[in-house]
Parts: sequence; C-alpha cells; structure tokens
Amino acid sequence: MIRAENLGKRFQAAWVFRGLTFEVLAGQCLVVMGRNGAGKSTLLKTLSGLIVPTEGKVEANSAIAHSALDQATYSDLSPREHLRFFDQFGDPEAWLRQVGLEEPAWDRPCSNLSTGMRARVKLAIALQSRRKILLLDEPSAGIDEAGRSVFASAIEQVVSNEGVVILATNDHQDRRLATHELEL
Amino acid sequence: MNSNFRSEVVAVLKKEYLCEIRGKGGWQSAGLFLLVSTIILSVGLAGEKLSGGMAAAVIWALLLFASSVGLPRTFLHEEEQGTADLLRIYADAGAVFLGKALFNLAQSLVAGTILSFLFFLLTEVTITDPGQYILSLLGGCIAISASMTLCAALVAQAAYRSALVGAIALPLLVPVAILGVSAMKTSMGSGLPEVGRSALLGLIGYGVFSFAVGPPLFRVLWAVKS
Repeated sequence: MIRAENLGKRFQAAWVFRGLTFEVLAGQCLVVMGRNGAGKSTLLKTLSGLIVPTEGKVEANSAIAHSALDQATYSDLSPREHLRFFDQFGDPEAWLRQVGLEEPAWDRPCSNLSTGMRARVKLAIALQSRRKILLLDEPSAGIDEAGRSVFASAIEQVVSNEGVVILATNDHQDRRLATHELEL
Repeated sequence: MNSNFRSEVVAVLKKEYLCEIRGKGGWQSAGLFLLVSTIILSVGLAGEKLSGGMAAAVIWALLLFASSVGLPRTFLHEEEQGTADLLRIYADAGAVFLGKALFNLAQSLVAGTILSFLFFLLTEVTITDPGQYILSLLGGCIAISASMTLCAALVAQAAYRSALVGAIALPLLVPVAILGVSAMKTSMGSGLPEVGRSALLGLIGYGVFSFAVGPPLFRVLWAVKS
C-alpha cells in the first residue's frame, strides 16, 4: 500500500502539484496521466523519496522500486553487470530474459544500447529488487511494440502478486492497465 | 540491493573499479600530473638537495593535488551522469559511501606509491626512517581519501559542485596536510621524532574518524533532497 496525503511540491514560487490525496492498495495499478510538465515525474520522485515534498506526506508499507525515463544507467557497465551490482546473489540472466533483452546485448556496455534496451535494463533492476511497490515513469517512451508488451506483462505480474504499481504516462494505450486513474 | 552490507560495499568497490578502468579519466589525469610535476621538480632542482621538511611538503602538495583531480569524481560523476537516483533507490547509502571511500583509498595508495617511486628516483632526498615514511604515507592516504570522499558526498547535489568541492575540501584537508607533513618530515631526518609520531597518530585517527563518520552522515545527506 502507498498513500499520499495532501501532497504538494513547489519549485521556487511555482507549485508543480498541490493537495494530492490518494491511496493505492495491494493488487492495484494507478495510472497518472497528464500533459508534459504536469508534474508526473516529480510526483513519482516524491513518492519514491527522491524528492522531499514541500507539504503533505507519503506513507508506504513496503520498499519502493522506481524506473524512470530520466534515470541513467552506467555507460561503462553491461546489463549483466548492472544486475549483478544491484543484487550480488541474484540470477541476472533470468531477469534479463524476462524483460526480453536478447543475449548478445547482455555483455555490451550500456552506452552501446538503444533507449528501449536501457529501459528494459532499468525494468529488470526494478523487478529483481522484488519490491512490492513499483513506480514506472513513462515506460512506453522510446519503446517498440514488443517492449510495450514486456512492460505491460511486468505490470500485470506485479499487480497479480498483490503488488502496487503507479504508472506515469502520456500514452492513452496504457490506460488499459489501470485499476485507478489520476489526472494531473 | 538484495544482500548484506559487506557484499554491497564490495559490489560498490568493484563497480567503481570497472567504471574507472573503462573510463580512464581520473587515473590518467592524476598519473600524468604526478609524472610531469616530479620531472619538473627534478629539473628545477638540478642536483640541489631538498631538506626533509621541504621534501615532505612537496610530496604532500603533490599527493593532495593528484587526489583532488581523481577522487571527487566518484560522487560528482554519479550526479552528472544521472545514475545517482538508481543508487539512491536500490543501494544502502552507507555501503555506497564506504565502497567509494575504499576505492578512493586504493587510488590514493597507488598515487602515493607512484609518487614516492618517482620522487626518490628523480631527487636526491634520502629516507632515514622507512617505517615512519610508509606509515605517514599510509595514514595520509587514509585521511585524504576519507576527507575527499566526504567532500564529494557533501557537494554532489549542489548546483555549483565543481567550484564548491575546493571550498569544502580546504578546511578538511589543511589539518590533514599539516599532520602529514609533520609526520613525514621526521622520516627524512627533519624535526623531532616524538612530534612526528604524535602527528602520525593524529593523521591515522583523523582518517579512521572520517571513515567511521562518513556512512551515517551520508545516509542523512542522501535522505534529504529538496
């Protein structure tokens, strides 16, 4: 479960969002829609603790995984090294397979991968963490059709395992994954 | 990370090594700086002998500047590349600090060893107490790496971090340099041995304290982002 109570974030004089109150329970997927600059990414960063809210509070009953378009991967490390770095005892190959990253790309430096491939690496890191709350920021941006279905099935899997997903998107196709919606 | 603290520290250490060895920037700059400055020094001296105190001061100045080229990159790079958020979400801040500090220590030790080799090869300075020299270099590397990591961690999220790192490093590194020069010059026949030993203890204490205080301080720093 994750709950936002009267949440607000202001940069200098301008409020990005204000007075947001919502709760997402286990097995639910909240899709956050809004135009560019509406504050979707800021909201997700506030929920994951990367940004401190100006007012209000966030409560979560579990650790949060967060995959975002503006998160960078280490350009000199390969996808396999990324997964090993974030989980020294895990099985990186299984997660890379799950997100549909093909084997020749596993050991290539991330600087040589496409945007869509790097998005899959970030998704694999998030899934590997086995956290119950998954925040996804613009997961369909720069992704081909196969990649979209990988993200969709990952979301469905987390939700079916009584996890929580909050998805920020511009893409109206992503609405089909929602159990709830929030318009910023 | 799904692991214990120690394996996280080792993972950060390994990641730093891989990124540094593949990126090459910091080590190359620091190595080049050490080589060029030692050659210039030996040419400038042209057979003249440095006193123990002066030699210790020069070694420390070179070590500090070599460190200031490479060491702060560890945190500043994370922010500049945009990878800091990944670490903040999935890694323990204390393990990140310790892993980076240990990597910086390894870098300092390599720099200190290369510097010592070049310095004594190209100048006519002799060491009268090798044990004191090695310990003061080791203590210095511990203190420099811990302080520099702390500086980089403090300024990493600031807007003008590259400018700030120097300003923050100054008050942290001046005591280290004073203790370091006092400890090292006695190994080259200058100053009182008792003063050298006290300075050495102070140097090691400073380094160990900075290593100990870094992880909890960094946890607080990473928790606060406006």
